[in-house]
Amino acid sequence: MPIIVNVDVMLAKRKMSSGELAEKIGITPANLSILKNNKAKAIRFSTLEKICEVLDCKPGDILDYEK
Amino acid sequence: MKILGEKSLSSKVIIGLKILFAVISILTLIVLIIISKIIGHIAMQENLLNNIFDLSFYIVIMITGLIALLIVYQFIKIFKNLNSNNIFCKDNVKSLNVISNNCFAIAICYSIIVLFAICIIIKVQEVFINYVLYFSIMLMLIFMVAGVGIKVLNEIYKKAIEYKEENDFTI
Repeated sequence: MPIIVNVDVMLAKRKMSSGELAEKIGITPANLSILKNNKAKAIRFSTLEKICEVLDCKPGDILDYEK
Repeated sequence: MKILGEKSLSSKVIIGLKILFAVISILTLIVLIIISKIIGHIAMQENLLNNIFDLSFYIVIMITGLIALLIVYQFIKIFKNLNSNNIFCKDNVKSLNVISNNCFAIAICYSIIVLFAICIIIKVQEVFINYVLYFSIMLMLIFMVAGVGIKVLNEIYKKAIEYKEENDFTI
């Protein structure tokens, strides 16, 4: 899929661990791992909203498009 | 009543299918014995035309028996997956595909008997051949419809798995 999830980049910028983020946004670490490894087929707006809220960023900072 | 999972209806169906597997195996062996007897009659040149028809009929019956064994085996595999609560897995799609192809194969086998019976019925007027013709046409149609039906079910199942995967991977 050409949509790339850059959550790990934002996590590094905010110096936050994956487990911490998963706990704050209320998803399991396994699901966050699926998201980080670009295996996810879709992302709910509610999840995206929470990630943006916790990482203090915009959806464009997390999602990228590559041909 | 529990339909899926352990100690449910599907686990009892497996027992039934295993019995069916054994019964079909025994019947196929009996047909094999009948075939060997008919070959003996043909060797002695007794009632040649009828015996040749009988031989071809029983050979096709034996082939369809073997195909039916494959179908039952695939059904056992599907029901085992249902028992282990592994309902939407790709193995079931493969099994359903094999079952539908085998149904078509059985339909083709019976269409061969139908053609053979029509050819021979002109020369030999025997009630047995009339029965065989009637029974073969019925089975041919049943297996053709079953094959098409299972093929459609297979496609629906495939779509269901796609939707399930999409749902599972939606975060």
